[in-house]
Amino acid sequence: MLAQRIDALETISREFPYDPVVFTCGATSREMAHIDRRPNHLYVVDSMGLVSSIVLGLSLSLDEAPINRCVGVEGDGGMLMNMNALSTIGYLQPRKLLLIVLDNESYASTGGQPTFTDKLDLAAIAESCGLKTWKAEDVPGLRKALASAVEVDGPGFIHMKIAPGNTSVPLLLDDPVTLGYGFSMWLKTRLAG
Amino acid sequence: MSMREEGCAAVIDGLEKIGLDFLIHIPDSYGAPVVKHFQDHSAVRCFSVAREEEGIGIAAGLALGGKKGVLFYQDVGLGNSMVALTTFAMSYHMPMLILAIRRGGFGEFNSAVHTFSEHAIRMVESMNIKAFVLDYRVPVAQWPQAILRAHEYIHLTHRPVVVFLNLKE
Repeated sequence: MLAQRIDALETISREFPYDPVVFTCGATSREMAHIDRRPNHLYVVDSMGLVSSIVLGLSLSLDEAPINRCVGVEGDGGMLMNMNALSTIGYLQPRKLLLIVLDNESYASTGGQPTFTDKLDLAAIAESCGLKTWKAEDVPGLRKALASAVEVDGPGFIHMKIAPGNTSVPLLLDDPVTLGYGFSMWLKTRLAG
Repeated sequence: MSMREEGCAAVIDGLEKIGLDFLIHIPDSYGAPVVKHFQDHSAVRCFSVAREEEGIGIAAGLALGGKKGVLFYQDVGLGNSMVALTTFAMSYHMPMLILAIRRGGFGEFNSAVHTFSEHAIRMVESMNIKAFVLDYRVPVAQWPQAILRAHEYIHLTHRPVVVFLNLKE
């Protein structure tokens, strides 16, 4: 049985308590902020598809910093929207980048309209671009993939199939500038050691 | 010296004054000497992206990590960039310098492209994104200082700034 998104998010959050983690918009950021809000999280409340590019910039800027991983959490719809980011990541080979795509084969935040990923293999696409890939279909599988991914230099890509639908949680209504400022202050403090 | 050569030399001078770490670009024939200069630069990482909004995300990530990234692409690319610029760079207060090479304006030969580019400056300003224009009205000798000041301005305002450059004859 496929995992709920919220269970995958909780697992990811626990795995990276001291590294920057950037979450995609809609239900992903809402569910994450609701169950385990942390200062090392950057919630991108709109800008669908941009997470992979933001985390690429972070990874390039923090290449020499005392940070283990720069993690991006994207959905299948968001990944399809900015698929060219995979080619840029593959070309630049940022070693600290880890992109996790939670794939429910639908635009869950807008009513569950289907994406293409029942027929497309996002991991195969990422691999062909030069990313190291792992697949997971449940939470134990995700834990195993995360454990493997942090053992080697990236860029890494974890593709996890999850159940369709969302967990009912409150909207994330913070002013984006406070979300960005909070994350930025956490990162400065973290880098100051 | 042609306008293209003079303008590109001034842009290079301005970017050197900034001390940038990354130049993110989408190729343009008029701006090619600038890209070439930074491709050969030992202290700057210079790479292209497939689409402009991707560059906005990368530049935002660089800014969050404390690095200086500058975007360099045609003004038509601002159309592709606008959602990322407004919903992320503006909304999250990301300092970011974009040098947009004019496709409209004096010297533009392509009727199709100026249909967009003639309105690009107003489009940017209508989103409350600060725009400066460097063209025949500003002596080229002043361009490096203008680019440096625009870079200071992104940090003073915590916002993206677009500098339009007309490198055409």
